[in-house]
Formats: sequence, structure tokens, C-alpha cells
Amino acid sequence: MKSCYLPAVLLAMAMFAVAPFRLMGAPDILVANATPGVLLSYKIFYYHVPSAMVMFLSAFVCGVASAVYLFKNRLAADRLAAAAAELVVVFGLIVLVTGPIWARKAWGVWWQWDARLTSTLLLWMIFMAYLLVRRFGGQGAEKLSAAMAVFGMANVPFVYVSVNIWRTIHPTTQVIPTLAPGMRGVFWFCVLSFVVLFGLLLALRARLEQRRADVERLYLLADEE
Amino acid sequence: MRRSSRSVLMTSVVAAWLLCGPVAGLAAQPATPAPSPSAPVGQAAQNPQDQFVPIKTLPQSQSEQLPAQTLVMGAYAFVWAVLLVYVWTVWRRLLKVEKEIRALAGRLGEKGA
Repeated sequence: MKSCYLPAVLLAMAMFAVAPFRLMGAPDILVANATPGVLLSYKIFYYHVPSAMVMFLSAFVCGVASAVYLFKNRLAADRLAAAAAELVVVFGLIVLVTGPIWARKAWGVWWQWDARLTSTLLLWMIFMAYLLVRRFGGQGAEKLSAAMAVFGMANVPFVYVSVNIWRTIHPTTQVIPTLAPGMRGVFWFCVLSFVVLFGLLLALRARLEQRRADVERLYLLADEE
Repeated sequence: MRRSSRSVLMTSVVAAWLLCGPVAGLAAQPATPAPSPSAPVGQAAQNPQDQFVPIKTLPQSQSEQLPAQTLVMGAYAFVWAVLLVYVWTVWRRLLKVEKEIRALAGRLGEKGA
């Protein structure tokens, strides 16, 4: 596992260095009859959507690991869930900030209380609450936060389909499957970059939780002696 | 004494809320322009077909134009900033824990010896 870490770091760095060049060369054919300014703002799409995908992935990892911790009482799963929950908040923050920046140019407003935007904000807040409960909840906070994470994960499919059920200003889920061939390669390259980065950050953050568990164990040993 | 300071705090919070509420409410109201007495009110109604102006001939309002390049670069810089700050915080927490482990292991080693 450790031997994979350095190549993965180098790969992620290389991918993030190459991404802007691929992005600038990508065709702007997402919308017809748009002004050059609006077309340029669509470049945000290449890192806004992958961030959202990684946010969903992270919520799933957190939810599944929390369920394993709740039903099997495995501490390693709880540590993984804590790491993933923090990444939901980090990537969620990227989604919730880059989205409005793009919206200001494309829609003319920073924010709309439409189903997708509001449910994404709620999802982000659930995982923010997870971290707060874990930090300040005291005894038994791990179990309580794990239950919250399971509900947070259950919220993800609703966030995804919200744009198809309640039609508002946000594009539907049909945008990605119908991407133009020139855009598809660049888009999936960006998604892969974000997934590699997610894997690295998850491993790094899970290691922190592992070391914290080691500290707890050492304190117990010191108390016994 | 503590009780009175708490009541003073509560009173100031309620007073601030009462003061800020109407101000926030007024700020949320859409600005309705006052009718200008010199505006020719009847003129627009006389010949509405003459009011059309092609968008290309309108003067560009600089205050309403948001440069897309700034937005794209701003969003990209934000992604980098968030990720770098996050890695830095994890790194710092990891260093702190490693230091604690070394100190504890040293203490346990001393006791064992």
C-alpha cells in the first residue's frame, strides 16, 4: 500500500498539471448561440462536475463504512468513515463555490433555491453536522455520527435525480451521457484526476485517524503501567 | 452579578435583533424606482413598436459585465486553494500526532527500563 502512494502522488500531480491545457483546448459546444464570455465560463464545468462526483463517491464511502461500523463494530471502518466525511465537506465546498461562480455568468445569478442546489447544500450540511457531532458529541458520538452518515448517503440519489424530477434552471443528468466527443475525453480525464486525488486524500486522512488510535492505545498502556 | 450581566447580554441581543430585523427586511425589498416627473409617460404608450432597440446597438454597461476569464481563473484558484489548505491542515495534524506518539513511546520506554 505504501509503495503505491508515491507513484499515485506523482500521477495526481501530473494529471492536475496537464488538466488546464487539456481544458483550454476542449471545444465549447455545450450551449448553442452563447457569447464568448459565457462559453469560456463553461470551462468551470470540467472541475465543478468532477468535484460533485467525488463528493457523492465520498458520501457513499462514508455511509457504507459507517454502516459496517454500526452493524459489525469495526473500528477501522469508523476511521475510514471519518476520513471520507471530511472529504465530503472539502469537495462539497468546491462544488458549492464553483457552481455559483459559473451560474453568475451562465444564469445571471449567483444562487437559485432550486432542488439541486438546495439538496446539495443540505447534503453538505449533513456531513458538516457529522463532523461537529464527532468533534463535540462526547461519549458515544461515533455511533450517533455513523447513523447520520447512513442518512447522508441515502440523500445522495435524491440529490442526483432532483434535477430530473423538479425541472428548474440547473441542467439535467442527461448532459454527461450526451457530451460531444471532443469534450468527453477531457471531462473523463478531469474525473479520473479528481478520483485519484480523492484516493490519495482518503489514504492520508485515514492514516491520521489510524495514528490517533495509536495515541489512544499508548495512553491506555501508559495508564496501565 | 453573573445573572445581571447575562440579562444585559440577552437584552442587547434582543435589541440588536429588533433593530436589525426591519433594516434587513428593507434591504430585501426590491428597489422600485421613483417616477420621474419629467419622464414622458404617454410617449411610450403612443407607439410601442418604435421602442424596440436591437441588443447589438445598446451601449455596453461596464458595471454589469463580469469578465468570464476572471471567474474561470477565480474558480480554478479556489479549487487549488481549498485542496492545498486541506493537505496542509492534515499534514500539520499528522505531525502533531507523530510528535505525541514519540513522546509517549519515550515515556513508556523509560518506565520499561
